[in-house]
Amino acid sequence: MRSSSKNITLAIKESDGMAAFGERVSATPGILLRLREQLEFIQKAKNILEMKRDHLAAEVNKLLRDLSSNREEAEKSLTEAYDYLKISYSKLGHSGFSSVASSVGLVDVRTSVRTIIGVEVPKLIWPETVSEQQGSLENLLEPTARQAAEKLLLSLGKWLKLAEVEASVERISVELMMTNRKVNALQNIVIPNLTQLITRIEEQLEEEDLEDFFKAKKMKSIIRGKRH
Amino acid sequence: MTHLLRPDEIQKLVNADSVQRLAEQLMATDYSSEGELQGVAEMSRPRLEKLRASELEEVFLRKMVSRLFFISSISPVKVKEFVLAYSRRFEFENIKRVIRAKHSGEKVEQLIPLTKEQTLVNFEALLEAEDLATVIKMLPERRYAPSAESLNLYNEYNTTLVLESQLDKIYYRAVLLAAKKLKDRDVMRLIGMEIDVRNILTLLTMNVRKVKPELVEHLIIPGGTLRGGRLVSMVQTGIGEIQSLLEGTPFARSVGGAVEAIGGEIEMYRVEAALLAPFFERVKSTVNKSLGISYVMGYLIRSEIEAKNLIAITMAKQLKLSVDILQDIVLV
Repeated sequence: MRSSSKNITLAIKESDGMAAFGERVSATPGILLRLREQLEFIQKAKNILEMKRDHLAAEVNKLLRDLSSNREEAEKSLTEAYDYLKISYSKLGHSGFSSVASSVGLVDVRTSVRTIIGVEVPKLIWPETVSEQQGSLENLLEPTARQAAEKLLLSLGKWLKLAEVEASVERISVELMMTNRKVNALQNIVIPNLTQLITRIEEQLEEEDLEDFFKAKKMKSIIRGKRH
Repeated sequence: MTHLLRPDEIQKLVNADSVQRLAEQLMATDYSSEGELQGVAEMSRPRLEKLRASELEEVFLRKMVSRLFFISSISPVKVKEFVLAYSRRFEFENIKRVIRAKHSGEKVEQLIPLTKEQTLVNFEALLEAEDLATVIKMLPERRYAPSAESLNLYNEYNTTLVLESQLDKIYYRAVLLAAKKLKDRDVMRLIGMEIDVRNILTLLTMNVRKVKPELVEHLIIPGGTLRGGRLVSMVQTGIGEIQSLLEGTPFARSVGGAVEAIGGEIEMYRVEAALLAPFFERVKSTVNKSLGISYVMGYLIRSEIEAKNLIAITMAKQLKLSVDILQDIVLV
């Protein structure tokens, strides 16, 4: 059992079997082995996080492309719906329009959650097709009001879709940022420090080995000298 | 009909820049005696700029109602019976508004203004009613109450359309009964055409907007000039065939162009305008050739159309709707 009085300054503290920074430890082969195992593990973890980061970035870019076209569609659909609303409102007058509007039922919008690369994002479920929307319009037969209501419902669908995409972009971006920080921390701080520590321990152990070798050689020559 | 607005006056209003300008133009017409418009000339500029289309709407509705009931007050007995039956349309429209509001739990925004002398229905009590069932119980049974069948359909399909349609049937039955006693073919033809317009619009909307086809026969109002079979086919047939279904009717030519989809979309306001155009032409020709009861009928219809035109123009000015579209909505 060899122990060294020289402790490595960039030391490690064991915690749950993992290396962390903080205390001085001895430079022993056992410690060296464990450190090498930890380095390998951390490098694998860094690779996985990099892959996650790349996937998250790709997903955000895809969503951002969708976002821009979704927003344009949503705005266009709302403008169109307002045009039809204006026609119906003019035709029926304020009191007539208010009356037919009161016969429009509520739109059933439900929320759910789905995951994208482990990130929870909201999912909205609403009647997307004309036939599914009939429920809220079943009392509305005035032709211009009905057409305006259908346009509004379709537009609502596009805004809900946009909201879904925006919320997804926000959450995935936060996760991307955190993952990036972890990757950077591992790449720029943890791995270099660990590598440096391993190198210093290796050098220390080599030095000790060399010292032992020379000591053993001297002992041998002394013993041979006495015999003669 | 000299106090009704002439086509050139309507056109001038269509081209007005704003609600305020429109109100100023109306000061030179029969509307200048109405409450709000009396004050328009004296309004300060800031107040005038706040003039809303909905304020003028009430003026137009009151004028329309008062004209119709004035005619009934000066008519001989048989004609009075008919004019009163015809004028009940405002009452029925108000009942429909209450029904819609109670069904959905909303408040009634505004009713067509009717004085106590102009209606048998206690609308204040109807508005206070807790729910739709109470409203129906409160309606004077003989004249207004929907049948048990329509109530069952309402409960089955959870739609007020059947109740509204039932009210329309009650209304038109009474009008046709009163009109028969006058023995005037032109009056019967005009009422029949009006019923046709309502039925065709209902069925076209059901076809184009894919509304429940099983309700069709309950929504058709009897008494029109078009027979039930032809009407029912309008729900099932392709929209392009509608014109051939209307062959031989006054509506065929005008509807043909309107039901063509523009950019894949059928504009319902154009379809409605196309259906109303031949009806309005018939009204004008009836008025021009007769001085009897059909002249009175023509006056009643034109008064109502004038009110609707003015409401449409005023709202369109406030909403900055294009003049092209407004020209389609307004009947001149």
